[in-house]
Order: sequence, then C-alpha cells, then structure tokens
Amino acid sequence: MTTRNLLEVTNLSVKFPLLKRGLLSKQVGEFTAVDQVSFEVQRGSVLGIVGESGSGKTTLVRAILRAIEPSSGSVLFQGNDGAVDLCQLTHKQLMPLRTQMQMIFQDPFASLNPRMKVADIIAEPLVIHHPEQHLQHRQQVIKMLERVGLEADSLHRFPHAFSGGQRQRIGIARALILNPSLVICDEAVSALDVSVQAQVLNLLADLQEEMNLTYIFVAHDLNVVHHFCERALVMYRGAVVESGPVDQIFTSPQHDYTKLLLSAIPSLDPDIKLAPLDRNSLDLG
Amino acid sequence: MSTSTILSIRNLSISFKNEISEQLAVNNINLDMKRSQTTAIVGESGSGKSVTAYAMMQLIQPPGKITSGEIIFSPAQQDSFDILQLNDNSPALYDLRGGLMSMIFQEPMTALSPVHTIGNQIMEAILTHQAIPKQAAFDLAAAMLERVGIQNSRERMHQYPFEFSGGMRQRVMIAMALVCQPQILICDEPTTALDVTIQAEILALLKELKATIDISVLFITHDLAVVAQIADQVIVMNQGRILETGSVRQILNDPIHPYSQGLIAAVPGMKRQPRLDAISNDSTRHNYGVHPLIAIKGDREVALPMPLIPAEYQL
Repeated sequence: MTTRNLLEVTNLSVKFPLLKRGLLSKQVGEFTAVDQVSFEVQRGSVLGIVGESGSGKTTLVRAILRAIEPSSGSVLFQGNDGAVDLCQLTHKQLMPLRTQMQMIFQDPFASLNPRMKVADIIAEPLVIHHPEQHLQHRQQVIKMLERVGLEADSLHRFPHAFSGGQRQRIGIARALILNPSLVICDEAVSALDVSVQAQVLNLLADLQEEMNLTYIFVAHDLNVVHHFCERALVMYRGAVVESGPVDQIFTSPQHDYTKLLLSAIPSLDPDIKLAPLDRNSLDLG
Repeated sequence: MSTSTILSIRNLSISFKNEISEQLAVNNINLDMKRSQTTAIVGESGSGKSVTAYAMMQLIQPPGKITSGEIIFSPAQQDSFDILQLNDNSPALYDLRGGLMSMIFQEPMTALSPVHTIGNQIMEAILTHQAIPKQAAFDLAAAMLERVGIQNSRERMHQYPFEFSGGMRQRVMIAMALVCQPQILICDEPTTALDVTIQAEILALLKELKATIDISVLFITHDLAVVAQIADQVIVMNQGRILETGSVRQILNDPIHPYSQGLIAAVPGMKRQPRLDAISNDSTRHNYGVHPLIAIKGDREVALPMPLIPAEYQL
C-alpha cells in the first residue's frame, strides 16, 4: 500500500441472507448488496459515490467502517500507526482506529438523540474514546462548536431547537471532534434546502482544508458530487459500473447507467428540456 | 377578475401563535393562478409556501390561524366563491377537498395509509365524491393506475403501500389525486424525496398528464431546476412574503430580487466553482423584507425597498 492512499478497498462484498418466513426460518439464498467493489482514496481528496436508492452506496460505506460486517474482501486503512486491514480486526482492536474514521449522517432529525443536549451529543465520542481527559472535553466542544459556525449558547439546548442546517452542523461537530482523518458523509446534504445545502457544503470544504480531512461523499444528487468531489464511483445494483475523475464521468460517461443518471438531471435553463433516457432501452447489465 | 384566473389570493395572512409569540407564516400575500397553467412557488423551508397551499384547501390546523384575506376560486362552469368563507362542515368544502382541488404530498409513505390497500384508498376518494357502484369505482381506479404508468393495475390494487417503491408510491398518490378530475392540483414538493432518475420519471409523467388533462397546477418546491422544467409562472417566497413573480424565463434567466439571484447562485451547477454562494440570513431578513414596495412592469412584480427598485419599474 502506498502511503499516498488513505484507504484501499479490494473486492469488498456484502451479502445478506434471504430467510424463509416462519418460526424456524431457514436460509434460502443470498442477496448481494455490494458486489466485489474495489477502489482507493487518496489522502486529502474527496471521493463521491453516486447511484439510485438500493444501489448499495450506504451498505458499502458502512461495510468499510465495519458497521455492517463485510462477507469478503479487504479494507486497507492507513492509520496513524501504519496500514491495517480493517476486515481482519476484532472489535476490540478496531476501537482505537474508530477515532480516525467518522460518519456524518443523512437525516439531521433522526441522527441526533432528542433527549441529549448539544454539549453531550458532541462530547459523546470523547467520553467513549478519551474518558481520561474528561476535564478538557468542555473546552474542546466549545472550540468545535465555533468551528462549525454555531453560537456558544447552543451548548445547553436540545436538538429540536435547531433548524435542519444547524442540526447538520451539530452532526458535523460530533464527527470531527476526535480529529479523524477519514470522514464519510452519507447523503449529508440531501435533506437540506438548496441555500442551506450551499452553506453546509462550503463548511465541509473549509473544514477539509483546516483539518486535512479525506471525505467519502455519498450522494444521489449528481450536481452536488460534480461540485464537491474530485473522483467518483457510479454504483448500480451493488457493483461499481464506472469510476474516474468527475469531469471525465460527466463529460464522457461510458456506462449506460451513468448516461441514464446524467440525462435525468433537470437543467436550470427552462429552454433545455428534460429528456431522460428510457431505462428499458439501455443495456444496464 | 379576468376569466383566465382560476384562483386568486388577496391579502392573505396566516399566523401561528404560541404562549410566547405570534409568528406570521404568511404575511399579506396576493397571487393569481392562471387557468391551465403551472404556477410554481419557490422558497426555503419556513418561507410559507406549504402553508399557503394548505390554506387553499382550508387545511390550516391550530395553532395556525388565517387572520385575514380571501381566496377566490373560480372553477369552470361554476360561480366563483371565497374558499375561506366556507364553513368547516359545509358540503361545498367536502366537494372542494379532493373533488375540485387535490394535493400530492412530499412523502408518499406517510401520506398513504399503511393498513389499507392501494385500491381501497383510491376507491375511497372516488366513492366520497361520486355516487357510483363499487365495481365501477374499482374499474375507474384501476384505469387511473394504468394511466399513471403502473402495470398489472388490477392485481396491484390489492397490494399495500409497502409493496411499492418510492416512485411507484408517488404514482399512486398522483392517481389518487387525479381520479376525481380536479381543476386544481397542488403538488407539495412531490419529487424532493425521490432519486434523480425517479424524479425525472415523475416530472415527465406530470408533464404528460398536464398536456392531456385540462388542469391548473400549483407546484411547491425549493428546487429551481425542477421549476425550470415544469413551471409557467414562478413565485419566489421568503419569510412569508412574496418577493418576486414572473414567468419562468424571467425569473430564472433574469432575476431582479437579490434573494432570487441568491437562490439561483446556490444551486451547484455543472460548471465547477470553488465555493457556492450561500445566502446569508441577515441579508434577506433585514435588507429586503422590511417595508418593501411592490414594483410592476408588465406581468412581472417584485417587492423591494425603494433604492433597489430598477428604474423601468412602476410602483
């Protein structure tokens, strides 16, 4: 593994058992949610993953973090103490590595505990991973809040008192408080209005520069991916059908599914009519 | 009022009150919907766009309250009337809801009942408004499902919403909304929860239906690209006020109001740029919202403070 790559994923597959209904459920087959996916992510870069719902984007990124157990393949992660294969580690061995990879979730309403104050939400990763430094937690939380553009008086309020964009900032603060190197944004801006989305994207870009972050950015909005990412993977039915620099994917798509996705983007110009390709006429494999 | 206006809102204000304060969700707005056209209301969350649509069907729930204004509805072959004057349990209001006017919601899973079959739910809409036998209603519902692109509609009538994908559920919603042949269809962010490919399919379906059925559509969204594809008239709302109205080409190609310009700039485009121009909240709230004057040129209206109004506009 070259040190330029933060992450190297090789032939990663995730399969879910299909069970027969009934009291003694018997496995009758397998569903392959992620099928032999390989890619690498350079340190300091942004990799986009696009695809429609059900294409396996979220399962893939969760399998990378071992939040879902992968069935086969390897995930080489360039940690602070050298490269390790995340798939081979026990959960105990994984714990210290988890500080270096964090996730930002899609739904800013469901991903924050409504009964916890903002201060506790943001401090929770610190409490889990660095309980011995508890005296400094508060200071770190206040610094983080400022960094993501929230007022210090937010500390003692509950998530319901915040708008969608502000909640997403809280989620970002929680993800970044451990100073991770890899941040996975799972549809982090999909639930936001376009103007708030712009603010959050700008914030993510600023934080990347300040904290030297590497992002994996999962989205179904191709314009956002084109704006934000350097390279992208296009997923369809669990497999990567196309990958490369975003400009190349957008200007000369090779796979029919990529062409379908691109043709479905509505233009801002009322004179350019939306003419999506017909799914049935394409060779989607 | 001209005959080409199907719905006209005058001085509508809606307030939401709690123990501490009163919030004007809609602040003294005027708008006209043209017959057989698609009017889009664009704005961020909290701009009052959905509340305006809900008021059109008298669906504002307490603590929300319509404090003033009138909504004049002029259905074809009927006298026009003020929707807000209708009594809560008057038969005219029942006819209006789902009959003359119907609505498609953002989240099809929460808008459909999980414990009734699709067929059951569409038939309920028909049987509420038309005195026809159940079998006829079944046939009508199945034909409507076929019409919105659901194959094997007779079998699918017996299925539950969870057996449908997101795009298919939205098709069911459209079928349910159109089955009583309403004159106004309100679409409240119908594609926001959908993937881009499915969104394109639903937009194509709506356009195709619009071309064959004579219907006036009110389309609520925050996605300007969707507006560009579907709307004839555009209304930009923010903080409960209408900031700008005009045709889709006027608003998207030549926006006057700084807020409209900001909305367009915030869309991540196909051309790459280092940063997006996000709209800062202060600028809209303080500079443009307070004491605006309404300036008119032709069929275009814009609400701006005096110094910002372009010279060719009249007050």
